[in-house]
Amino acid sequence: MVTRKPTGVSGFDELIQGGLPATSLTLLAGAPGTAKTTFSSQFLYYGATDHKEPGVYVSFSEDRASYLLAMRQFGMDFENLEKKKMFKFLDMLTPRGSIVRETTNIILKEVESLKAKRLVVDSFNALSIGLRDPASARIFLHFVLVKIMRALGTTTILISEIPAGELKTGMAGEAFLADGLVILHYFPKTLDPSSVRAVEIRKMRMTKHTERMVPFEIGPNGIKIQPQAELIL
Amino acid sequence: MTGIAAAREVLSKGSKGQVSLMLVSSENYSRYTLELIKLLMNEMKMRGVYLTVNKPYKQLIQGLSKIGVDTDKILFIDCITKLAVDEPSPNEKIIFAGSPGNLTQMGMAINQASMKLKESNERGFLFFDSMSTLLLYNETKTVAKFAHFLVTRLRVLELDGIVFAVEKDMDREVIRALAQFCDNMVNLD
Repeated sequence: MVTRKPTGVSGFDELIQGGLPATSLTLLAGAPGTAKTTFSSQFLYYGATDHKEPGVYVSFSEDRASYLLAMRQFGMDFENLEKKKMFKFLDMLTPRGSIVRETTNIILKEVESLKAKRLVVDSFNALSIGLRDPASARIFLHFVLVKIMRALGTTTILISEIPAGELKTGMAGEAFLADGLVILHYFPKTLDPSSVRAVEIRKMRMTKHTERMVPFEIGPNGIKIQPQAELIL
Repeated sequence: MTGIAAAREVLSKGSKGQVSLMLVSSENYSRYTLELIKLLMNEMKMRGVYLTVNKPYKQLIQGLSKIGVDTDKILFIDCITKLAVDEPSPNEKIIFAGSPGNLTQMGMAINQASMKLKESNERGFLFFDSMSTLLLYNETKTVAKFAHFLVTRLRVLELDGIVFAVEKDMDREVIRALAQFCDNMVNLD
């Protein structure tokens, strides 16, 4: 029996048998504007509020203040969770010392001290730039995210940016190392004020998941998926 | 038999979840859409969803109220107002769903509205005002895909579907495809 971690993304868990497999690493990929940050933040926020699981958000691309402000617009008060020691935002915008080792140490220290059960790393692309070369990023991904986090019992989402208009992922093989690959798509409509977004679950180990692309909306409480809805393009 | 009498004959005899295609000329379109809603609401005592891609809900409410239809019993899916107004005021009787070009969002709104309608046990309908407008914004194949989705959804939920199409605007192939999905086809003129 696989233990699952509900994501807090309305409707998504129905597509994957109730949640992400515990201690798994899921790659969340998508072009800019596809709501990757919102998706992964819902995973942390509802993990903390509904399941009492502390979470860490490691950002290589955004500072704390703008992140907190953006998420508050979806009703997610992370500042309050920080006060309750249920959440930690790790600002990794500035590279430090011997980068792979330092980055690893900082993340491990925070995950351990918070007893975090959920981790988000934003993003693999920024991480590769921060770690100065793709080989270091691969080492980080393989040892830190796959091996150490699994040993600590942390369920992890790794965000990956896909350039707009492209559908491929895996610049350094991250898609192969991950247990799950979830892709968020964006289809612009010329005459429409609200374009179409859809989620695709390309793979999810130990999980019977939908093969369809399922449309979703972004509302006042974040991402909302209608599992029965159809993508009609 | 033509006109509303023909529609009455078909709608009152059919079973739950039937889908009827109503073909009409552009000259008679406005009159027949309103009269058909009156038939469904006032005579057949049904509750329903009005999916509009042609007239903003405000205009529809005015027109229907004038002929004595209680619009409080209708849930509107408005796919027009958002084209002109960025963020229309929220209203629990109206779902604003993009534009006639966003069939995915329209489908999601249909799911949402029909689930709401199913909460009451009364016989319900979904009225779509018209399929022909979709052809201005979408490829024929996409419209056919949407029609198939709509008909399947209505049958599963056991809601009666009334789909309008302005005959002159549609090529014969599309009408044939639509008719194949529907249970009845009524020429109102």
